[in-house]
Amino acid sequence: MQFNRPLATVTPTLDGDVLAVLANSDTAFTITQIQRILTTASGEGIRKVLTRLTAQGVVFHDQVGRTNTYQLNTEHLAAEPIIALSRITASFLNRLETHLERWGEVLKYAAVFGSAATGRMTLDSDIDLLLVRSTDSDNPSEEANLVAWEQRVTELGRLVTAWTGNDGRVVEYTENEIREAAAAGEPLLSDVAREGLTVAGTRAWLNRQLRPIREAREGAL
Amino acid sequence: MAATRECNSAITAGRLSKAIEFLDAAESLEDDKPNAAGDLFVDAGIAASDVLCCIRLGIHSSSGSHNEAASLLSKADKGSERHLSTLLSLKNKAAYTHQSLSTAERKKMNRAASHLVEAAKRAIAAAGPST
Repeated sequence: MQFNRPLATVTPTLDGDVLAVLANSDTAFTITQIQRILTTASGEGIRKVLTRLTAQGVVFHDQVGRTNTYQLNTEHLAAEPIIALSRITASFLNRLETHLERWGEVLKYAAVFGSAATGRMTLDSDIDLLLVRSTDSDNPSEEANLVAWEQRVTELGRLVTAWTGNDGRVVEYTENEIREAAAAGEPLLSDVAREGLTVAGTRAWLNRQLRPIREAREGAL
Repeated sequence: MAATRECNSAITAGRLSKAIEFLDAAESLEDDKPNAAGDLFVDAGIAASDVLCCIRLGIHSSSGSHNEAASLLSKADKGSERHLSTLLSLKNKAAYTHQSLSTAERKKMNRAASHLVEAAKRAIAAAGPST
């Protein structure tokens, strides 16, 4: 699936893209406004879609003077599944957050990054996840924790694929490793800080891990 | 009719980039320069609100009116307008009184700005960066 074309999971047509725009706001749109949001669709194509959807009753058409406006009919029987499909990205992120909450304190931070986070997904895109594991070297049960962690990570990759149809790709760091990677100027980490969608921990925590290194590097220049 | 401006991909990307920059700067200044950080949290929240409006409505607010901006945001992302209102009301306090922002107020502003920036990033993930 593509997070940036949520209704393409059931209809890979302009109809789905137009419905997604209407379902994401309880406001009325003109054809020009919809075209501005979709950018690549023609005004005529959008008009034909809206005429079809109005005939189905799922879209309200209103005319004030020479201005035609269109709005999702939220009381229509089909409105609920349409709205649910249009919010599929939010549903995915919420499900991921709920799942990761169960991992407890061993998980310091997690984020979705890459094309899934920047709205550039294609059908074949992977869903990239960064996970940061708490480091506790004094803990005698560290080996057992590590095995449990690895099992969870494997299961997470499987779940992401099952939920979306896309490959879930996990990049793992420990707290110590992430500081070392930041010190080595790993660009992935600044990409995650800038574009990543945080699903466990806080972005402020990630920035705190990266900041001293960033400042030291800037000071040296 | 609220004053609005049409969006394009450059405006949306530019506003998101600024929202993140303002938020990061605010977080790094928060302890040493609370009032400057407060202003930056507000700037981050406004820029993120613009991104949400651009993505969902194709327009963003160009009005100086806080109420109009919050009303437009509620159409783009219902519920997020309260975070913008939190920021704007604390901005007024910071701007018009001699008192510094308290720690609790700064935390509140950080939470509100962080929520708006995360919501803006999630909206782009859901709709694509093209608007």
